Amino acid sequence: MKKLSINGLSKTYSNGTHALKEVNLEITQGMFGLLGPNGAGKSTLMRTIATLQSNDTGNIKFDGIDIQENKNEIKKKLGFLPQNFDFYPNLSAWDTLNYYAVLKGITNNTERKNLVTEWLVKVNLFDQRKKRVGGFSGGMKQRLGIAQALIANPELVIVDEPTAGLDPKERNHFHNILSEIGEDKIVILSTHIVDDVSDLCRDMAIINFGQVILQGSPLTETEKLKGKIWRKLIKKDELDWYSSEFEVISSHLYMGDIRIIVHSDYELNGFEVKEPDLEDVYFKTIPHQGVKAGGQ
Amino acid sequence: MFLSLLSYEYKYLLRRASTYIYALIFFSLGFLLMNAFAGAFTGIRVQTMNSGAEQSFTNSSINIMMISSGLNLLLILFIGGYLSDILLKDFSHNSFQLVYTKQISKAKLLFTRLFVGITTVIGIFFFLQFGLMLAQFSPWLDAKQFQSFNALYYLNPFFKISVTNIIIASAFYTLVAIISKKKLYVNMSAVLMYLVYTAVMAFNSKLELKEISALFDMFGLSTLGMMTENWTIAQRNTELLPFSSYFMYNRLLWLGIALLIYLLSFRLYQFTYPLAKVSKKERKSNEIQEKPAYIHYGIISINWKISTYFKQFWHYFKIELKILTRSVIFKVFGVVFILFVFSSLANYSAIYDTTVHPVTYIVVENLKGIVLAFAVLFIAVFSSELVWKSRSANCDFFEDSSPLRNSIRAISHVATLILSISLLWVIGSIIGMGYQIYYGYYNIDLSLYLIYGGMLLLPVLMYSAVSILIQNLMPNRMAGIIFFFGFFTIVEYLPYMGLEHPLYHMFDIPGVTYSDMNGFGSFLPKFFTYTIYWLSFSLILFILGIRLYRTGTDQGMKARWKNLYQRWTLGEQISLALMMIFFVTSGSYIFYNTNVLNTYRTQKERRELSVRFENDYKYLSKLKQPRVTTVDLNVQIYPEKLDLGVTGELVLKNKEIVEIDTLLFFANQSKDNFKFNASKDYDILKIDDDFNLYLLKFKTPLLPGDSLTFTFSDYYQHKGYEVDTNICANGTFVNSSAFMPEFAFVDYYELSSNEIRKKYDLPPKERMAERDDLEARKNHYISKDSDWVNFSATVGTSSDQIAVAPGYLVDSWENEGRKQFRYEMDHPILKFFSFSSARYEIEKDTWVSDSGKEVALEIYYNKGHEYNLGSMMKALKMGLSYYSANYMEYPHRQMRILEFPRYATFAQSFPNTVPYSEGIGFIAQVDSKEKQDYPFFVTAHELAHQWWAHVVIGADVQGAVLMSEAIAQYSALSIMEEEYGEIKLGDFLKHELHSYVTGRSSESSKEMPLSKVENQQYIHYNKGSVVMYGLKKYIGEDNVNRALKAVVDKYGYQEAPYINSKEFLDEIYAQVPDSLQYLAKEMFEDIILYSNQIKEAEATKEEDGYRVDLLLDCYKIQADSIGNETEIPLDDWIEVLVFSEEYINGEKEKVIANPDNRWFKLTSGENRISLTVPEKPIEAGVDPLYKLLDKNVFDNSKQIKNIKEKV
Repeated sequence: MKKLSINGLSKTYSNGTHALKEVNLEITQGMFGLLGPNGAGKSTLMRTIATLQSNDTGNIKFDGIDIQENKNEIKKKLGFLPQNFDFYPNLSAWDTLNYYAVLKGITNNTERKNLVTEWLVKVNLFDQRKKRVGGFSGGMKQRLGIAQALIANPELVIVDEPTAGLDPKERNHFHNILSEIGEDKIVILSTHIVDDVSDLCRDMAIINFGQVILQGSPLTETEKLKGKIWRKLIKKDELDWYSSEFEVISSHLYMGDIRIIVHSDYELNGFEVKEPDLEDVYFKTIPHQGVKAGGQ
Repeated sequence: MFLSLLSYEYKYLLRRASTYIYALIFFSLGFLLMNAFAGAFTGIRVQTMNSGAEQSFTNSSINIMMISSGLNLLLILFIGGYLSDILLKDFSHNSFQLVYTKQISKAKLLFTRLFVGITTVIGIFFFLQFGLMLAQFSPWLDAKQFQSFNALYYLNPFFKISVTNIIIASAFYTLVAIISKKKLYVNMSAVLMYLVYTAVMAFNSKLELKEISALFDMFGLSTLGMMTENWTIAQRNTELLPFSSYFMYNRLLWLGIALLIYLLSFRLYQFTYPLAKVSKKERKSNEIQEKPAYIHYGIISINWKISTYFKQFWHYFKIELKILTRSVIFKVFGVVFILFVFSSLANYSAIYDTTVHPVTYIVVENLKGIVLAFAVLFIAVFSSELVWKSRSANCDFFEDSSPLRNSIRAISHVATLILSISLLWVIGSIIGMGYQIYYGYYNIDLSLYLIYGGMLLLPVLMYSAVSILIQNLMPNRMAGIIFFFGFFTIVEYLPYMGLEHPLYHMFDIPGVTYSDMNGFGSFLPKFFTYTIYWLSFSLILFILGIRLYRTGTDQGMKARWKNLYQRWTLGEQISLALMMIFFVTSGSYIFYNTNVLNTYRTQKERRELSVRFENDYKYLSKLKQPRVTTVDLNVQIYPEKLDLGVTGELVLKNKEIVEIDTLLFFANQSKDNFKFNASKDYDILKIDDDFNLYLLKFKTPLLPGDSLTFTFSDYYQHKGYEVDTNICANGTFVNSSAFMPEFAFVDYYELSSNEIRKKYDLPPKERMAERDDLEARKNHYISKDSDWVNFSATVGTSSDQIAVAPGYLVDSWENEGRKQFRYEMDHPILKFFSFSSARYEIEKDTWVSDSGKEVALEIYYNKGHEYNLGSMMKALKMGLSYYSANYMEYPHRQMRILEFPRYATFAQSFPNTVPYSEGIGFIAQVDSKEKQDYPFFVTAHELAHQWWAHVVIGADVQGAVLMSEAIAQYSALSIMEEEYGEIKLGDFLKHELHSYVTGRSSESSKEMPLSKVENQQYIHYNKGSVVMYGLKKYIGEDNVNRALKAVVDKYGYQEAPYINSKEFLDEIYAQVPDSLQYLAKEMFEDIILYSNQIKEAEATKEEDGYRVDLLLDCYKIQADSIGNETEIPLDDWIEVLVFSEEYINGEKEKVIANPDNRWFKLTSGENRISLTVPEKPIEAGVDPLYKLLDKNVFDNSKQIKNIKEKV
């Protein structure tokens, strides 16, 4: 059973941003979701695990090996898909994937050729393999990125905001690939899209202002809110009042009016009870987010 | 709205740290450079090329102008980097949609940004001037070297050159920014501009191209050179660059072009989203549908073995090459390179604009120069491209999170750079060989192409290795590129900052000169020692570069600094240790050679030694000495081991009227092997090894008229990696001053610069004695311890070579596998001898004098150098005839020319013997009409020395070389004219005159009139040519020759006091008609210059020919020794010529249309002249063939394009 343990990880940038504060996480095999708003410190955490960045204090251990001390060992087991990326525009898809396969140590030519073909098919780019990547759409690039992250059968997979910019069909396809790659890996999926986590992950953490606010299974956490989530349709100008009277965790525009979601341990008059979902967990954990802006 | 936009943009720039960093850099550059020139680091101010003279101030207007405009080159790079930021900030920060949808008019936005960008750049660059200004007031500098502060010296070049250049360069960058919308392209276009510009500047030296390049030089630097090249010292101190002539046209032209580009940029400035370009090929590509075939393996086997890393490297390297070769800048670079190879091959090794035959080493050397210059630029640019490539493509996380070692990347970068430059070399070689074949030269030496290519790759490896470190240290690629150039510029100045020892001269590897005669000679051991030294040093830096390689997002130095000492791999440890060993070992060997085998002294130590010499021994300068009367030498040359052994027996005679009891002499370097003895008993009073000074006291004095015999022996062993260009495996040429003791007080240890002498409290020293100094006139200028001596010598060499010394061969024999030659001269000669030895071919001919004396003519040359033997032989014969007829019959029975390797490019005349460099005519290509036959000229000049030096020799006073060099020039010009005609000689004199007017600008002390010349080449050669030829044309050839004959009759083979220029000129003036006495005096005794310019030339067809109307502008100027000029009234006869064309032997040739009506009396200012010529005129000019000393050689002639019909 592989295990990634993060102990007391802190990072402060030179401009004073306190990106990570005493982060402690235990991540075991399977898909792990990392939820949090933009700027919460997700990417910093991901990059630190991916050896691309150093931390000030604390450590990260993968299978008992300290990542910072053994960068090269970790890199051999790592598949990483960063949040913003591109490729060398003048290389073809084949050349690109082939290149990264070599970098990851797959130097046997026939094996690599086989593997590159397999992954190009998997990410549905085989027909475009001879085209310059520079001409690819965002979705195509994202798929190629996924392929390079997974091609060498990594033990530790880190994907940072992988579905941003994908259309629903591509997103679905991506979820399939991720769920296919097996249960014996640690897959950390960082996202601010709650559905990604609820669809895929058995375990998750919510992070905000550089701190882990919650870690647990999405199912359990959702279960915990059963019967405590209420909703009501109100007028726009009533929002302030409701916000001050109730624990409004989120609000959405709904046919010109506003539907608010409220957390309450007790039954509320005039509200209807709502089946809780992970989004409610998220908004409950990260308070006052999006209340005024009306949504995510 | 506009103001707020303006202040917004200014704030944007002023908030950036780089703005201040750049300002600080420019300020420090200015401050440090001025300090370096003023001698802050070494105590002695640096004599720059542009202000050599002692009378020039360190803060002279020209110095300031040259420093600040020279740094305009750095400016080109800097603007490209800096401006791209403000012009494209919306794109690089991805905020363009926000800005572009705001309601700001298109023109206003661009204008504001440009205005802000350009003014800020101007502001930043002004800090350079500010640094220069402030340096003057540094309290540690000697204030006497500065003239009083004048802000105009700083502002004038700043506004006229720097500001205009900023505007011009910015125009191009704006256009690129607007078209490409990418910072990278702007940066690259800056680098490209720098590249093209420096390359153009470097490969353009022909006189005939000067005007064109002055007009079209984009940044006006060659214009500046052209405008100031004949400024005198006085002008250089205070003159401001005028906005006129070439400079004005140049600036107007380029500012005009810049304006057009700005307008174009405004038009092209679209508020649109930059679309990702899809190439046409892709749009219509029909993919052949291929069924993917693969087997799914559950497990992938990855074995991390050594071979895995090699495969990773190989693949990384291939991809890197692919990315590089597909980039636009690479292709542009290649095209520019090819153009340069072509254009520079056409101009190589030109003397008098005449090139040489395309022998392989010349072509290869040229190629090496070009490729190396390109390589430095290439490395600077593409190392940044490679190091930053994943970052600029935004895919760095993929590589950085892969198990890819930094060493693999770094080594691949270097390999890619080396491979690309090898490719440039191969392309260049192919062009070079094509060029050789095109010019009918088939003896292509392929091995030289390979060897030079290999030697080129060594510095390439060095620079590449260093650049990888630099790019990883610098915060961005442009900073890396600028730092790279800055670094290699600063390295050049290290010696001026007190780091003199060669071990500190970073990346300075001694040059290698290939010679047809001597191959690579003895250059290679030193070359390779230094190569190992600096290569291992740069590889140490490279290993640091690997350790500090930027990966991940922790780009700060602090984070990477840890890598310097953490977790070194075994391979890195071994490499570092190995490089350290190489570095230390080669460094030690250099030290051993420099400091142990030889005496190493810093400049300061040498100066102090000179001071001690003067303080301790100056009293000996008045010592009466016996003089050498007979010399018999045995000179043994060992070409295989590069040794030289000498023994000599000299007879010294007391020619004084008093007894002599001491003998002073200076031996030459090797104190270990030098032995001497005298036929009179003596005690040693003093031996000073620092100066090789020996002072003996005779036990009994040497009586007047008595002689003694002095014998000496010496052996010069080749030491360590010493480069010997005298004793060669093939082509030895050594002259007697290298080993003969000198029995007189010599002053060459003394400090010559009066400025430095003053620092050491020494009295000022004149370069030469006054003309009437009778003490000085006891000696001629060739030797100080003898008059005319009897000479004989035995010269030995290896059995396959011929050894030659002055005199006639009387015997030769072979002994112990070595050949010995005995030479004896049949009458006394000057005490100055040459010894040559090589495997010669000999070209023989004879010349018979009017009196029937047969003279054997022999040219000893290297096989393959037959090209110009005919020309040389012809010069010998014509010269012998002309000189014998006009001066005196040739005094010897033989005349020999001996080729020696091209380590020096001169020829030197010894009695009946002329060593003549391989590089000054043997391979000159003089086969077409436009070329100057300088082998002919040089031969004629050296032959003339057989009379003018070896018969008539000037006293060791001012004006001595007038009687030798200037008259040798005159003599050679006379037979040149006989052979090639007056018009072609005019072209030749144009070069001579140009050399004179530019030479006087770089005078280091003071310009002398020709009659008092103090060994100043630009005067005795270049001015001498023009003056003597002019004199001949004004007073007639016969008169000049009559005077010269009188000089030979009267002063030939004379004893002391030797002839001075007064006596010489008396003979000349005696032949000058009264009406021209003033002119002759001006030519010899004053510094008079003319400014003869033709302004208009019109021709009208008339019944009896063509009427030519000319408007001339003429001035006459008198200058003092530092070039303060005053206009004096002009009322002189000056030649005005009209040229037409005629067919001679089926070829069109330029001829003079008014041969009999050429002299016109011209006065100061405008002169209108009309004359009628029978043939159709094509060109007219005032003094167009340069018979007077004209300040500007470029404005004397004008072409006549249209012929008007008479109305």
